[in-house]
Amino acid sequence: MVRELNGRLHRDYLKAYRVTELISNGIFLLLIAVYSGLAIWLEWTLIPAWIALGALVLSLLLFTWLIPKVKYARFRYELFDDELEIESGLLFISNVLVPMVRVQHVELGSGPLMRKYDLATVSVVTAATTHRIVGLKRTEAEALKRRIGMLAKVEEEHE
Amino acid sequence: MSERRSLHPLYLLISVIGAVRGFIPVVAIVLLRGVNWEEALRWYWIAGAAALLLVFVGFSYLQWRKFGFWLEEDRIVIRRGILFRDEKTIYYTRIHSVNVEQPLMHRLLRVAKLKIETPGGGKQADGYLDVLSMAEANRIKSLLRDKAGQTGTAQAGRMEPDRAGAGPAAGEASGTAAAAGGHTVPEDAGAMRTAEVSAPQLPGGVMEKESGVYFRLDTAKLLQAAATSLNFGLVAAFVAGLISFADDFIDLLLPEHYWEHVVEDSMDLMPGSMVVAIGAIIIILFAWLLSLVLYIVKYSGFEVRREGGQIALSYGLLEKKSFLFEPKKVQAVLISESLLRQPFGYGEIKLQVISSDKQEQLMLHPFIKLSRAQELIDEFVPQMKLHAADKLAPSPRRALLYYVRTYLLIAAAVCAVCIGWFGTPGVWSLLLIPLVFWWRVSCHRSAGMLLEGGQLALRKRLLNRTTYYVRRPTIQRMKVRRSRAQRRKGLISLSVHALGSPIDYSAACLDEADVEAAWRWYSRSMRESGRAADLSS
Repeated sequence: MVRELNGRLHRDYLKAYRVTELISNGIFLLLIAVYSGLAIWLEWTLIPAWIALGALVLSLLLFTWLIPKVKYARFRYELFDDELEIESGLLFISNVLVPMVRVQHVELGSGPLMRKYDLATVSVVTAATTHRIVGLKRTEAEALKRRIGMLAKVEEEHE
Repeated sequence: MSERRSLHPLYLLISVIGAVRGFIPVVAIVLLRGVNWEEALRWYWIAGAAALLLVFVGFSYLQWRKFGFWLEEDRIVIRRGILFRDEKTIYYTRIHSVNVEQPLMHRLLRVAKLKIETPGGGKQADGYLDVLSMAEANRIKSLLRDKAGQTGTAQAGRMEPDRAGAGPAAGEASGTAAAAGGHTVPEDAGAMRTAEVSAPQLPGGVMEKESGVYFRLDTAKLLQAAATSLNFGLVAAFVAGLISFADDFIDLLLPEHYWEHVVEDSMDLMPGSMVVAIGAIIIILFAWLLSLVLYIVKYSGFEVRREGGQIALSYGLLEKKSFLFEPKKVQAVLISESLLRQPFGYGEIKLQVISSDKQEQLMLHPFIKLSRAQELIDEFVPQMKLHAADKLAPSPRRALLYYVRTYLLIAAAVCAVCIGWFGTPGVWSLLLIPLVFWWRVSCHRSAGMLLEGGQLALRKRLLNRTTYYVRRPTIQRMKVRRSRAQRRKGLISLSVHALGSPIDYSAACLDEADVEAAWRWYSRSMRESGRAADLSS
């Protein structure tokens, strides 16, 4: 919140994100096509199909173009020696501060699409919460995971 | 391996009753529908019921036979299960809290249920000893506590209160029994005092290190607390439960269209606006009465004791609950003032404690004069210091917009719908707007924060004004949040997460400078500047 955070997501994440959204929108389009086909065949009304098509265009604009762009642009993180800070958000921007002494373990994961772009997700798990950094290059994520693992070992000094 | 122990034989009865209880709704519905008694008393029906009962009894007996637990040097082992054997080992050092519970059936039969909680893992990880005699339950509880205490003696020693004169051996068995009997110790004018209970030593040679009832809630205080609690959450939960249960019965009990007739009759007699107004008043009164009754049922016989280095809470009329935990397990302190209590300076104190049952924060005192709250906190959670309400840095005036805006829009939308739907009588819904405005303004006035002495205080209002006190080491993470417009105006929301509660605790739209100080204070890499900010405030 106070300092400039230097970590960014990889540019490829934007592509992977958009491809995911395109796939779900594609399913939507398929449903519309099926309905239209049925409607023409059985002489139903076509109005729902037009409404759905409008919604699809809106969803394409919003979910595949605007939201990924803004989310990507606003996401920042940095790992300091004692803590991890993550800045993220869409309309509201939030900063989270996770002390290394609270970290219980770190996970690395990636889905099939993410793997295609050689991307991975780092999940930082504390006793109460999980914090995710989605969309780093595999090697970068690996390095981050190892560094957090090392830093998290340090015992908390007593107050 | 040490001696095998079994549950109390009454386990059989309780388990059978529990199984039979499951059939009550079915039986009730059948009875209400009307029964042909001649048909019902045929031998095969009775024989069937008897056989079913016999199966339950046999099953319970097997369960009881297969249930065994062993108290070892360093751990307790619990074995159960007929087909699938289940063995649970809990090391004494891992035990978080030991609770003696008495659901209704247990109370009637004068037995208890012991629940051994371990951190994390949820309900699955807890150890249950379902039916024990009261004396046995208390003996095991104190045994477990002593064993667990051996590792944490340093902590316990520090927590030992300086009331040297307190009774040497107050049997908790007698203490609980007295509470179960519904006795309340007469109190003097003060909200609390130290009552010493002396009783014969416990069987089994377990000595109480120190124990005394710190306070009990007497009947007058309980009534006051219940009348002012405005615990609508309790009411909502109760009504929801009631509706889901009663749904099946209402149609059976009442003639068809009963409610329609009642409403129509009264509608004819009065103008529409009157109906709405009177209806609203009746609903509010009813909710208030229900909240009063439920509160009494839940908290009657409320008692706080100190047992060794630990805090013991017990309360409940029908279902007796008791909790035992170490002061160092307290993550945060909540002070909550309901609308009816705030003008009189009363409130309730709750503790957020790590437990596997994460839903509820434990009540430390249901009704206390807040000017005297610090005494209680010093006694039980000495690491916490309460702040005077006016010391908190309030949410700045420019934040009012963000408190009011969304809610007024929603209220306006509701009004529009009402007017559109009901026509002229719907205009009455416009009253909602000033009401919502007043509510949001008071929320804004209540919001605030204070950073002092290594401790963060956050205050907000939903209906009750709640102040949340948390120390730096127990904060799991800190989070801030703001929109672009809020950033331009120097406003920001702060939330912190501590163990023992599923949700964050937050205060919205505070002054950026105050929040930044807290951020630096919490940050470990900006520590030095954080300390400076802490000192200057």
